[in-house]
Amino acid sequence: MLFEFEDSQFNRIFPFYVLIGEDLKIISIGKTLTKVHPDFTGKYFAEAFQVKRPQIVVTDIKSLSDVIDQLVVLECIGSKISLRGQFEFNERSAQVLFIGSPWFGSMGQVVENNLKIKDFAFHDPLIDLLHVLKTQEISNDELKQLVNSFNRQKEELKKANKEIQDIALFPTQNPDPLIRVDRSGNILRLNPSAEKLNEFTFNHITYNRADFWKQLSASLDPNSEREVYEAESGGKVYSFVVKSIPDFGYYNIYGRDITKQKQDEERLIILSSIAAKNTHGVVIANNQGVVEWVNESFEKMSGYAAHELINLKPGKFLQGKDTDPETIRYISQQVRAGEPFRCEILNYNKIGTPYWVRILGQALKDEQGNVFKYFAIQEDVTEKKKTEEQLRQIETKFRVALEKIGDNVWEHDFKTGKTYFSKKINEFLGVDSQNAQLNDKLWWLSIHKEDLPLLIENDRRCRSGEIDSHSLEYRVVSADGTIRWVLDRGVVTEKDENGYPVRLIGTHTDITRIKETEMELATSLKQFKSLSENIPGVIYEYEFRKDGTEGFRYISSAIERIFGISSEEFFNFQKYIHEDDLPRIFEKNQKSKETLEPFYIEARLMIPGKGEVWHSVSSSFSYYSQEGAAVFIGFMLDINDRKKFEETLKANEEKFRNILANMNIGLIEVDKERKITYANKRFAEMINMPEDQIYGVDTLLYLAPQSRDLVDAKFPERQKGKSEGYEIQVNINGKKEWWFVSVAPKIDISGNFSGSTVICLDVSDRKDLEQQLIVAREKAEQLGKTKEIFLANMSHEIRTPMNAIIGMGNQLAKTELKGDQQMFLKTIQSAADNLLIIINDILDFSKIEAGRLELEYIGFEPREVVGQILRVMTYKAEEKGILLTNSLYDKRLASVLKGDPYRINQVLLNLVSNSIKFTEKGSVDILCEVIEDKPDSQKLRITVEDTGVGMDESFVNKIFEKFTQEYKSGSRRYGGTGLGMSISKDLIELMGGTIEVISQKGIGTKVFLTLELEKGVQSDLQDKNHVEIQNDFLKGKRIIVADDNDNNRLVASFILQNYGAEILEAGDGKKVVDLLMEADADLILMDIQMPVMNGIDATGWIRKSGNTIPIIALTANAIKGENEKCIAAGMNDYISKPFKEEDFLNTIAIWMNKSKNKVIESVTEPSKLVSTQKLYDLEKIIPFSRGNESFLKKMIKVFCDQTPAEVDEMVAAFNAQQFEKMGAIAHKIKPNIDNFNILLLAEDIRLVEKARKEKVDFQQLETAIENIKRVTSEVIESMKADYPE
Amino acid sequence: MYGIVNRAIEDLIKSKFGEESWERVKEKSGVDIDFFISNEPYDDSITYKLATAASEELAVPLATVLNEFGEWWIMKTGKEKYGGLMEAGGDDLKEFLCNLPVFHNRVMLIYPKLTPPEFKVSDIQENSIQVHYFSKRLGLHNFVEGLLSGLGKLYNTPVVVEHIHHRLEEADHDIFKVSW
Repeated sequence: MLFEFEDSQFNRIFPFYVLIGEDLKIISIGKTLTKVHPDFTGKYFAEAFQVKRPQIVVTDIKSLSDVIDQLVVLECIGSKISLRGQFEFNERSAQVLFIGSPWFGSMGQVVENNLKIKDFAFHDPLIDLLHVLKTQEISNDELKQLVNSFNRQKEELKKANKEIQDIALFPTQNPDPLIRVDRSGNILRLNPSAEKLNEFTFNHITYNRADFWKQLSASLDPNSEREVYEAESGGKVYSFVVKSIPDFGYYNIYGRDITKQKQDEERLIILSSIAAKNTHGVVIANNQGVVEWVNESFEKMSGYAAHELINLKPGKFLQGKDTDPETIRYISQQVRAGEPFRCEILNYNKIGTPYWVRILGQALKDEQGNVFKYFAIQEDVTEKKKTEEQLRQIETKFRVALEKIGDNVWEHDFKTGKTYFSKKINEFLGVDSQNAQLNDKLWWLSIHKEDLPLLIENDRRCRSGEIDSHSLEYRVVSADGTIRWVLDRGVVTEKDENGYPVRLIGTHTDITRIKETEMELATSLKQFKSLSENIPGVIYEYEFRKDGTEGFRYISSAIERIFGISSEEFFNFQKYIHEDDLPRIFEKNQKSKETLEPFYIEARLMIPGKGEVWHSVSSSFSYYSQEGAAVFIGFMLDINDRKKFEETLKANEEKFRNILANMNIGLIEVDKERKITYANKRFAEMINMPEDQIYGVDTLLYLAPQSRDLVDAKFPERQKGKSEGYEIQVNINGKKEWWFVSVAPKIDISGNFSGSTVICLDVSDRKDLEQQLIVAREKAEQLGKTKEIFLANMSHEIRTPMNAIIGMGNQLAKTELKGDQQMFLKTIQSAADNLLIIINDILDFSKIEAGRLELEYIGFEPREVVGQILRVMTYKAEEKGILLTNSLYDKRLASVLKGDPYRINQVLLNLVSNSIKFTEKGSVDILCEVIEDKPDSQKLRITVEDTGVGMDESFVNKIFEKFTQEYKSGSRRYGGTGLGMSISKDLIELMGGTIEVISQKGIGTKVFLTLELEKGVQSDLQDKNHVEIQNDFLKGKRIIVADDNDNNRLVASFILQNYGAEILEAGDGKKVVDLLMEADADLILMDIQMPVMNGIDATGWIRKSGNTIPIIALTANAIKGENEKCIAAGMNDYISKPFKEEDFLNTIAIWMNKSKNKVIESVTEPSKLVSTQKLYDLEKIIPFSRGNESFLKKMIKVFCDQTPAEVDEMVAAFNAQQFEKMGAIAHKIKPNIDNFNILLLAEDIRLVEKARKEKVDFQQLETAIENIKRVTSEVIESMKADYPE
Repeated sequence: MYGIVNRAIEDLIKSKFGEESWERVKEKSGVDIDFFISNEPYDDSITYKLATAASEELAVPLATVLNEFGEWWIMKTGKEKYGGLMEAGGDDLKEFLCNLPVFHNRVMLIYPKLTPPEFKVSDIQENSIQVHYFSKRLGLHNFVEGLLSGLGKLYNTPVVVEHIHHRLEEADHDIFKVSW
């Protein structure tokens, strides 16, 4: 259906439409939109609109057409009008149409944009929606008002409620407990304070809350207005006032914490008792100072009865003529001020006897701070006063005495805090002042600041009563800055009643001199000690006394460290001196004693546990001691190492001197000009010159010219400090000699080159020998080469006729033969086979001897190797009537191993054939087992075991020697060269394996081969290229057979003709070239050694002419390298003579097929070539499946399902030349190809994979890709047939 | 936010934890509004305050509150108040989620003063879909998670909602993978 509208019609329906072109330009817009935005048409979409929904970035028309299935909101740039609608894409015109209408929030916006109802399409519900919205808004507003009014009322209600609650809460916030209980004591209400009281103790019984109130209410009178109880709770005492409320039938109980009140009461009782019973006098007066009360002690002290004193002022009756008026004034003043007072005062009792009291007075004040009472305590201190007076008098006497001695005497009064110094103070501080107080301050100021803490601490201890006396040493700094040391000693002479000091007296003594001496001494001692401890010798003092005796005065303790003897022990030094050295020591000692000359000796100490130690002793006279002894100060050193070193040095020097002088090697020293400065005896002999004439001889004169050049060339190196050895030729009196010289530079103390030291050895004899050896070696090499050439020739010469014999024998065997003829032929064939083995053995042997045997390193199937042996040898075994078996084939043996299968085959063939040869009855068995299975390799043991004649132990030992067979006559009986075992051993060892023989005469022989071979995979296997040969497979083919040996040509031609080929024969290479010019051919069999033109040259000619005909070499040279030469010359393959017919035909068939494929590729399916092979197998997968067939099927299904798509993708990548991608897919497919053993593709898939990273031949790649596609589809077809779902 | 959102929170808390719980949440949040009018816009902060207070009051992480709220929004508010609209969204969960972007853009019609978030969908698989959530508001991804799992419940389809991309900056957006 196609709609078509006129502009006006469309505008009527969609007045807000927008049409956008492919270039995003606005083609047209609806009429109403034009009204608002007349300028939009022609603008770019992005200049006019912003897409608010969905979030997209408009880059091209596609970004709009992508959102056709979404609701779109556009905002007009300029008016901010939002359009709500959708896009539609017209594929034909590549235009996008937007259909929508404005999205306004209110009618107000419509009007603001100057739009009218008629501007909107009738179907557009916007205007009506806006009306609905408006109506809704109106009701909303009304609703809101209603809600607000509710809210207001609710708030007011809330407020009122809160106030009521506050009022109600008031009593509950009372900090005193409030309780309401009914008449039975059940709790009706508790305020929070009452809730905290859980236990009550009442009349010494503790109750829980509920019980307590019940107990209490039992004793309450319901009619009583007010009852009060006290009880304890939570460690506090409460008074509970119980008020009965008869109207409601309950009690309100008001609790109050009276703990403090109770405590005060108790304390008052105690205090009153203390005051009354106190031994000190206690008096209480009112605020006017009039006595109100006195205790008994006061009565006793004053001699008045209490009633006599009441209403009197104490001063009136207590003070007398000697009472200190100052003290009276002090007391009055304190009393007036309401302050406490404390003093000692002389009172008089009733009968006028004076007595001293210490008085302590205190005003008692009410809460407003007004004094309402005084009380005073008086202690009788009369006795104490007397003692103090006596003490003071004694002290005065002592002070006078001390001052006279010369010390400064001082006295400190702790009450006044003043210190009094005697006159001597001036001398310490260097000031002239008689003011005692000033001295006190000066003293503290003059104390050295480092020592001040000492004094402060002492002062503290003294004041606190901790100490009663002190003795301090500290420094004071006098006015002129001199520091003096003071010995300060003091003792407390008076203490107060509390044990605190009242008076301290002491002396200051000047100890500056003593101090200085002490310090100097200490420093010297420390220095000396440190010195003597740390020097590597022992310091000592040795004295010769006046009475003729002598001995050590001092030995430093270092002796213990150095010699392991303590100082004390060494005082008796004689016992440590080696007895041989004692006389020397005594002699020298005596001399020093007599002359006071310095003493020096080196002698041996015999130290227990350490043995002999050399030490040196050296001393000199120092001073005479107070006792008049001559004192020597000296030191001892351990010189053991030095002595030992000296001895060794001496011995060495002796030794080398002897060696140098007498050695059979010439030694000279030359100067920078290379003139001799020293020569040993031998050198003099070497140049045939008397030793005494040799000095200054120019060494260069003796050098042969070419050696002179060599020496000159080496000289600069020597000057650089390099040593080296080389051979030179010298000319001694006309006789030429070869010397080996070793030259080392001599470097003087300043590090400069000063000449050389040269060691010369006559090597003329050795040189001669060397020359002879070189000649001999060259000869031997020549001989070896000759042997090789001989072998090659022999190989060729023997093999060529052998080829004919074996080939013809085979052909003859195919013909009808009579009984005898058959036997004759068999003998010939057998002899020829044996001969071939012998020739091969000899060749191998020569190659091994020459070290030129090279091993293959290819993948092979070990099972196949063993199978081959069985196939070949069973016939021979059967002939002798013995059994050939393979009784053990280890399952673990890898299906593919890497190594040289041909040589392993050769060894096994040799062993098995030996076993068969030497076994008359019984069996020969082959056992294959894995003895070590590693991740990458396997160690296997192959045992060939027979029940043959066996060998003597003595023979077993030399079985591997060459040309060996047991019994000299054995050769005749059993045949063979005796090389087989030797070659086998060499081959196995070349492969890194071992071969071992165990044999018992008459029982049998076991030969063990042990080999370690790397594991391989299927793809390591060489192309089998095995083709099926039909009887007429060469029909219509023309083959050139080139060989100068007629027999060989005949054999080859004969075989080929049997299969239908047309043969052109050529006797030399030239003939081949000629033949090719005349006629076409399909293949050439080319001998190498031919007259006129050899096979290599002929191939060169053919290839140069551009002919690609397959050329197969026929080589008789079994020497390695020959085959490579053929391929290098341009041949395609090679066949060694003598050949086996099967191999021969196989090789030809392969090349026939190859060339055929090349020509008629399009009509032939190459896969048919290998049609007999299975396309795939499950050998590798089966182990994974563990016998689970459904797993196998699943694997196959997955392969069948996935592979075609993957291959298609790979082909597509190849076609698009995306080699990276193609290779990656190949990499992915590869494991499947390998797992399913699809051998046909093993190489192809790898080639394709490789193409990802490196350049490969395009043609090859194309073929590989095609193969993969074709073979995988065949495999899948085959799988589906084999495993139907 | 429209009052309907705050109302939904109120309904959720009242029905699951009781009136008193709601009163405490309101008290904790400091929000002094007794009655939310559904189609009246309120400040966003009110919604956030309520959600935070609910998290504190109920002693559950804010994320859980928002998630729970998301489910409630679908199961109660959506189903009961906009049943018809929800049903028009799709016959099954997948269809609904596919329609979600358009559906949500249409909601603008109901609430003209709305600043609605935007949704996009991608990676539509047989059993999963990725929902992209673009919003000017921060911190509501848990709410969206709840919405998505609520939708699963609405359609009787058990779902797993994974928050596979977290919005890191203003211009970024969140991505949820809904699997069933």
